Order: sequence, then C-alpha cells, then structure tokens
Amino acid sequence: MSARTRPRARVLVIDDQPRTAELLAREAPELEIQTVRSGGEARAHARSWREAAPVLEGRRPPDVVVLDLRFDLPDEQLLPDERPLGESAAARRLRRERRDRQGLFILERLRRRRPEIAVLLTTAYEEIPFEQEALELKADAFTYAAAEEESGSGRLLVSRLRRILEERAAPQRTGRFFWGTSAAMRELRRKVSALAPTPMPLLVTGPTGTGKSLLVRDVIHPLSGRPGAFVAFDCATVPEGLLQAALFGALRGSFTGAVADRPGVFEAAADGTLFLDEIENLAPDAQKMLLTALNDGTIRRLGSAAETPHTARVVAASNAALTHAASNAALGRRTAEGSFRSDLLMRLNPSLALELPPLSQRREDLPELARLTASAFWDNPRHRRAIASLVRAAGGPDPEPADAFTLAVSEREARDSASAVVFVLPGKAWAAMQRHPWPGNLRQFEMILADSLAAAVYAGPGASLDRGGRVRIPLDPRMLFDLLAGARASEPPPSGAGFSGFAGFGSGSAERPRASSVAGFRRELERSALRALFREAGGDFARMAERMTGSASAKEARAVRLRFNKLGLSARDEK
Amino acid sequence: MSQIGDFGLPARPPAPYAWAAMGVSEAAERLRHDLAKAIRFSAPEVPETETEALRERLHADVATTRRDDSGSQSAAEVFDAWRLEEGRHFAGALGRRVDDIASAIEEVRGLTVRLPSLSRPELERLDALTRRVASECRALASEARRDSRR
Repeated sequence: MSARTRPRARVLVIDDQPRTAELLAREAPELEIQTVRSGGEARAHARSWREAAPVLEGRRPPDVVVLDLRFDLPDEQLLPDERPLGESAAARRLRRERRDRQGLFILERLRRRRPEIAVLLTTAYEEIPFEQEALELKADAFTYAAAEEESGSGRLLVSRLRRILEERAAPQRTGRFFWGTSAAMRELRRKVSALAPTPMPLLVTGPTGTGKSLLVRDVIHPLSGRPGAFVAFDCATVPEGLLQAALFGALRGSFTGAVADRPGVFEAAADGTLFLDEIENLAPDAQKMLLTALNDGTIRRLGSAAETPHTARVVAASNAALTHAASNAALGRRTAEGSFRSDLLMRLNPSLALELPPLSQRREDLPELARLTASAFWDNPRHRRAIASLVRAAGGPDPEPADAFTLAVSEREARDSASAVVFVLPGKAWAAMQRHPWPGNLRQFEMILADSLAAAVYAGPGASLDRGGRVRIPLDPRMLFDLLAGARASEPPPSGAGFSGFAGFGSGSAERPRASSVAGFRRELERSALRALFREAGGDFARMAERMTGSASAKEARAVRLRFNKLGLSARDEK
Repeated sequence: MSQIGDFGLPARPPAPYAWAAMGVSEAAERLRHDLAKAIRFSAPEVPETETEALRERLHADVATTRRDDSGSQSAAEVFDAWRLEEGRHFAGALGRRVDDIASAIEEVRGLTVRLPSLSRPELERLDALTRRVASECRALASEARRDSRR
C-alpha cells in the first residue's frame, strides 16, 4: 500500500481480435500495451482468461483492462475450467446465447481476483443488453454505437480510455472527501463536475457515513465558485417550533426570547451554499416554506410581513435511514405516503440526484481508503510523537516528518516495503475487513482502522526492528475482530425497503433454504426472496422492481423478470 | 419439424413470437459487432488527405476486417459468414434492409479485390461504402430491436 510512481499506464486488452491492441499501440503511444505469452509467442492482446490471468495476477498488473463483450471461442477455450457444453441442440443454443456475453464471464473472474483494476467493457450494442450486469461488476461500459458515423469507433475508444486513466490519476481526495477509483465514484465525479457550477438546487443521497456532507462542503461548494459561505443545517436536530426562525430568521419580539433580530441560515448562506441535511425530517410546514423559497427565490423572517430575496444555493441530502438503494426511493415513498411534498421533491431535481454508493459496493476502494486513513493517523502530531518513542524503544532512528510509512496488509507486503516504519495488519484481519458489510460505511471503516492503529501505538506490544532495518508496529488482529463484531452487532435492522421477504430467515427459522454449497445456498436464498416479493407484489414485476430498486421503470421490471426466470421461477407457477 | 402421428401436429410447439424476435435482434447486434464496428474501426475524424494512408486504412478495415491465427476475413467474408448463419431470421422490411447491405457489400467486394490499384476516387467510393454498410447495420439492429419489443 505504499505509493509508487508509474511512468506509463499499463493496459491489457482482452479480445479475440488484435485490432484494438494495434490501434492503441498506434494511437496512444503513451500507454504500455501489455503483452501476453501464448504457445511460446508474445502477443499484444489476450484472447482468453487463460492468456490474461498470468498478467492480471503478476507483479505488474494493468491499470486498465479493455475487454470485449463478444468472443468467438468455445467457453472451454475462453475459460479453461469450464466444461464443454457438448453438441446437443440445447448445448448449441446455449453456446450461441453465451457467445454474446462471454466478456461478462471474464469480468466476473477479474472482479473476484483484481477488484481494483478499471475495466472498459466494449461492445457494438447501442443498448448494452447486459448493462445491469456490467454495472454490478463495476465496469465502465463503452458502446461503439456512440461513435459518430464520420469518425471511427476505435478513435472514440482511445479517448474514453484516456479519460478513465485521467480520472484514476486524479487525486483520490478532495479536501476530506474520498473519491476512490471505483466506476460508480468516477461516474459520480463526472456528474458533480457538471452540476456543481450550476445554480440549480441539488439532492445528494446515500446511506449514512458515505460522506454526503463532505461532498457538499469540500467539493460542490468550492466547485460552485460562489463567493458566499458554506452553511450546514441539520433538519433533524431543530425542534419543529424553531424551524422557521432557524431557516429564515426572526424579528425581535416575534417569539418569547427573541430579544433581537436574527438572520436564518438562508441569509447566512447568501451567495454561498446552504446544505440541508436529512431533508426528509423537515416538518410539513417547513417543507412548504422551503418550497416557496426555492420557487420564488424569496424568504420571510418570522414576525415579518415583508419578503426578501435570497441568493443561497440549496443542496439537500437524505439517507432516510436506508440500508441500501438510493435514498431517493425513501423520499419517493414518503412522497407517496404524503409525509414529504412531491412538489418539493421535484424542485430538488431528483432525476439528477448525486447518489453515494455504500462502501460494500465499492470494495475495490478499501486499500486506498486504508492507506489514506493510516496517512491521516501518521500526520497527527500527537500520534507521531508516540510513534517516534516506539521507534526509539525499538532501536530505530527518529522518523523524520518526510519519512514514508507503509500499512502492510500481509507479511509479504511488510517484507517488500521500502519504508522506515511499517504498520503490519495480519492478512486474515485484512481479509475480514474486506468481507465486512460496513453498515456505517466510510466513517465506520476509518474509525475502526484508526482505533486499531491507536491501540497498536498506545497499548500494543511495542515495535521491533526487522532484518531489513525497518521498524514494525503490529496491529492486534483480535482487537480488530472485536471491533468488527461490535460494528456488526450494532448494525441497524434493514428498514425502509418495505419488504418482508427475509422475515422468515432468522436464526433457527424452518423456512431458511438449504443447499449443498454456499453458492447453492445463495441461489436458494435469492429464489426464496424473489418468490416472497412476487407474492407481496401480486405478481407485478414493476412493483417488485420498485421495492427492490426504487424504480418501477420498464427496464428495471424487465431486469427483475429476467432474473426471476433465470432462477428457474415461473410467474404462472407462482400465481 | 417432426410430426406426430397423422394429425400433423408439431412435436414441439413453435417458438413464441417474442423468442423468435429476440433471435432476430441478437443476430442483428452480432452483425453490428462483427461488421459495423470493424469496417470503420480505424477511420480518423478527418478523412486522410494522403492517398496511400487512405489505402492502408481501408486495407486494415475492409480487406482484413477480422483476423485470427488461421488467417483473416475481409468485410465481405464476414458478412457472408453472418448471412449464412443468421440470414434466415430476416424477412419483410428487415430482409430488405439485409438485401441493401448485401448490395453494398457486393460493391465493396469488387473494390477490395482491386484495392492495391484503386485510384483516389475509387478509394473514396470504397470509404463511402464502408460508411453506408456501418450505417445500414446500425439501422438494422435498431429496427430489429424495435420489432422485438412489440
């Protein structure tokens, strides 16, 4: 996890055709197109997983993989451990169907082994038929159909690839907000860049701990170019009776204790950004006032008859105690229930909502997040003094401010480190962190890692000097496991989804599905959940989609129906 | 299709319309992938002013459209292989669209054979044909997809 400089970005092309690799070599000489070995010869593109795997798992993995969606190879050649399908009519049909999506099978494997590598999935399809799967597998999907007729499709691919590399090379943090390199966050970054400089009201959604307020304070407000202040206001913490005064200000004598005229947050954020956190908790009367402020651009202080214009740009945030999916869905539901005004929701441009994904959906960002958390710990003067005394006690030299450190997540990384100080996190503990669901998201991850580092520095067994002259400070895995167990125990029960499909799967439940393998169990679990949801939704796939994703669009409904059928379920049988 | 007894009943029910339409859409998408994407793969944003550069690009895109260890296939050969495998799915308006592509491909085939000696106007004609083939393939895929949704 120590920083390294890379002179040239490395690209691995996985395609049964050589033309993409040839084009990249010709048009993008700044890139290193990685070669693979096959039958004793080197080539600039891997035609199968077998050819790609040694590069992906080697010591110089690519920064980006350019992966074709469609291959003309039998599965057993593309994916060596696949069994031949045979020559029956059903097998031929299956082979034909699979041929159109073989890139996804490679992508699945790649994600399991190298989640941090960016993938540019290329297809000629105008509407990628497997878009949902590609998104779930966190790939940047690129369609050649986007190419203008006049220019060649390959040129557009080169520019898209360059953009991905630029985005990956961009700083991982803006202020305290952590971007990471996951496809979802890169997409968010593009969206924020486009929307932040506009004056329109925005809605930021995402589960708790994903960094909504940091995004607004450290990214959106500075990018807006507005000269005024950033003012944050938590709608959940102000009593309903004081909301109007807090938001819009109050005149002297307008209520008991109002001894002087007082401005509200709208006025405090003049020419700046007003961040309204947990907007879904706003009382109905305050919603109406806020709507007027947004629609008319005017506010009225409590006790005043005069309306005055305001110049604050409003950015609202919502998590609505959701455990997954977009908070938009919760707001939408509250709108349907009548507890949140639909006209106010519409005014917040929900279709442009900036959605922060939960940490569990961007696990490829964990290594960098861990490194940055450790950096912040290292940069704290008090911690640095404590580390220095540990280092001295171990017989090492005082670490200089400019000294590098490494957070090694395995013994091998610790041995390979060139840093003077190495924090050593045992591989098993790191594996547990990677598997953890992180219900509290980034905030919880940073807190647990920082606590572990603090325990190692202040209450650990001390530091030791290794053979390479490095000072090792071990992190206690038992403490980390305890912290993770505590985090899991404090995890709130799923709420807000309105779906009781898993209600029967509690401990000891007779309804818990059984299977002979973990994969089978997961499949049965999904089947059971979908069957329960199907019954609850009265067999309506659009309603099922809405409950699952918050969207009842035809596309989502179709995706649900396809998944339903793929799991061997039949709408006719279930009815 | 095999028959049962003397009643003329098919041994299996015919494939539902949606399935058949999906086959057409997928086949059209395959042509878009294998031919439309490849036939203008290297085309620059601004057409080449150098005649030999244009010839070289057309050679890559039209004469060696797809390549593997066993050799290369020209654009015409890619289309022939696709039509042999998938052409039977297309009838009516979609069939006429395939015929239009076929007629453009026939002209491409003739020019590809003489590629090393084509004049500048002939190279430009071939370039225009690649644009037409790519455009027709895209239109075919869009129409097939629209049909599959009906």
